[in-house]
Amino acid sequence: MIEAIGLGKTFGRNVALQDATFRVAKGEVAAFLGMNGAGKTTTLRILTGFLPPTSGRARIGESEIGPGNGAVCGVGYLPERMPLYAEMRVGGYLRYAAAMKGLAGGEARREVGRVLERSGADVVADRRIAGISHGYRRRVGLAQALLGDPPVLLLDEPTAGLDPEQAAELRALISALAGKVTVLLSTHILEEASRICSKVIILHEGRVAAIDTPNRLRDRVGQGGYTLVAAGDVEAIRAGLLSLGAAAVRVGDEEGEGRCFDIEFTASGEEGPGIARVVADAKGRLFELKKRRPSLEEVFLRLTGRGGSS
Amino acid sequence: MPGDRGVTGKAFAVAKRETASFFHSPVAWVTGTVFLLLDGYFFYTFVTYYHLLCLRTPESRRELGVLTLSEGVIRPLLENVSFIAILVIPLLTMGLFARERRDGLLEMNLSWPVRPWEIVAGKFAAALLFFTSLSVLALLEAVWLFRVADPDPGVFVSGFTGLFLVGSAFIAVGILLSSITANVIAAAVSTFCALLAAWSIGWTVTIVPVALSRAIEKISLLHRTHGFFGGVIDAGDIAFFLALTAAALTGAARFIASSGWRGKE
Repeated sequence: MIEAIGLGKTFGRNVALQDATFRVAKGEVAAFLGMNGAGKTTTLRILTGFLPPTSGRARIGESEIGPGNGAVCGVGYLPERMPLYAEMRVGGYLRYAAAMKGLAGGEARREVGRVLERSGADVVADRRIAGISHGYRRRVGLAQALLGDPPVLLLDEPTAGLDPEQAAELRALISALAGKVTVLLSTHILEEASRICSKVIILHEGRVAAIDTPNRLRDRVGQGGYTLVAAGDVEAIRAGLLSLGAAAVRVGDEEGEGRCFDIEFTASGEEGPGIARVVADAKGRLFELKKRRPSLEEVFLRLTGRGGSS
Repeated sequence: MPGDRGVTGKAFAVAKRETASFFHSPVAWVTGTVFLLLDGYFFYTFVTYYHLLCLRTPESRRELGVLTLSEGVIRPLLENVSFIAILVIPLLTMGLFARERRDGLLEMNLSWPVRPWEIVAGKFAAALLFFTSLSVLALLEAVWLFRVADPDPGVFVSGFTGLFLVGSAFIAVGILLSSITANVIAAAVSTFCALLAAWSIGWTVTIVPVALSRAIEKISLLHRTHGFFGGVIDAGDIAFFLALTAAALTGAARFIASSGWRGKE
């Protein structure tokens, strides 16, 4: 479990984080969303115990973090720019990391073998770190984070710089950890957060702008709209949709026997049956009706005041 | 702290990794080679000079203050090896923390359940092992003296003890100055300047008032080694070098512990 209450951090006059309060329950996978400089990395570095907060406090499992106390235990950390000892071999580095995490002898060997396999870095176990690709460096970083089976994982931009296949594998691995390990990751890839996280914490200019599930965040910024494919009197359908309360109706290209309508609603609600009735009243035929929710990108832009009012 | 594996387990892991790193580092190999070449050059010079002195009368040698092999070869050799260490040790210690701070490795290390002093102790042990290895190689040539002459073994033992303590103190100062910067060159230059100042302040004792010269002799590394290199092991000198080493390493551990306060996003 991760809990932060009024967490703040300043560097001289620069306020990096201000009054951040959030909670990630045990076994939950949560994501920090934010632009560059929003305070994501600062928060993660505070939670690892490397940066002491200027104000507030945080708790990770049994470890308390506050000004003057940064001793954190049971955390696996993957920094954004994974620093590694280039001259070491992958296996040797992981054995070193295991020793630093307090593992020794057979237990360390078993753990290193387990995380090498789990992260997919086993194929480069005997190679020098200087000679492996960026993708494998990330895997080695993830392997060291998984060493010792920590109850909490802090992952800073875990898929940054990975090719689509590697990113998908890593996302699958994180998803598989859900329920067993508490994961807090930072990302600016919004769809990544929406796919693997049950909670999203939007950070903007050092403050928490919103916390919720991806679906509730979408609902919060309003209904996205509908995509309708129907045949019939186009003008009658359009007029009917406008009278139903649609903010805008765009008539698109023909699709098979019907025509495509892009319908926008400003208020949240279930307009599906009403739309079907409009088509029926216009003596048209309905081929397809699909609810279109706002993307997390739209949600993010609206909640951070960059995409117009909500 | 969870994850503890004994008092020295993690320090040993750091020492092992750093020692391997030294032997993979071209800087360490170049530094070691230069150290041994300079040492060989000085040894050859002192032996040749002493050989020439031996052709003179005892009175002539007494006038020059060189009567024995210890005074003619071992003592000046140890003094020169110590001075070479001032040039070499900053190159060995510069990257120990500065490189880690620069590359983010320090942050990674501190995210593990490890105490700063364990990291400092491990790095110190590795650097001291490397320096001691070089010193043993350097002094192997002095062992040759035992085959061809009859030097005082006591001077040899006390001299090596002194060199070990001087090396420890130099390395500790190097680690301290490497721990406060992320710039490797700055770490090397500041260590070199600090060691040179602490050594060369001893050269001023003959030109300053007596009261001041006594104070300088107390803190001058050069004067603190005179006893060791002359065959005298003094408890005060041992305590001085051990205290300097301990103070510098404690300072380094403090700086590492407070790294976060200086961290930048």
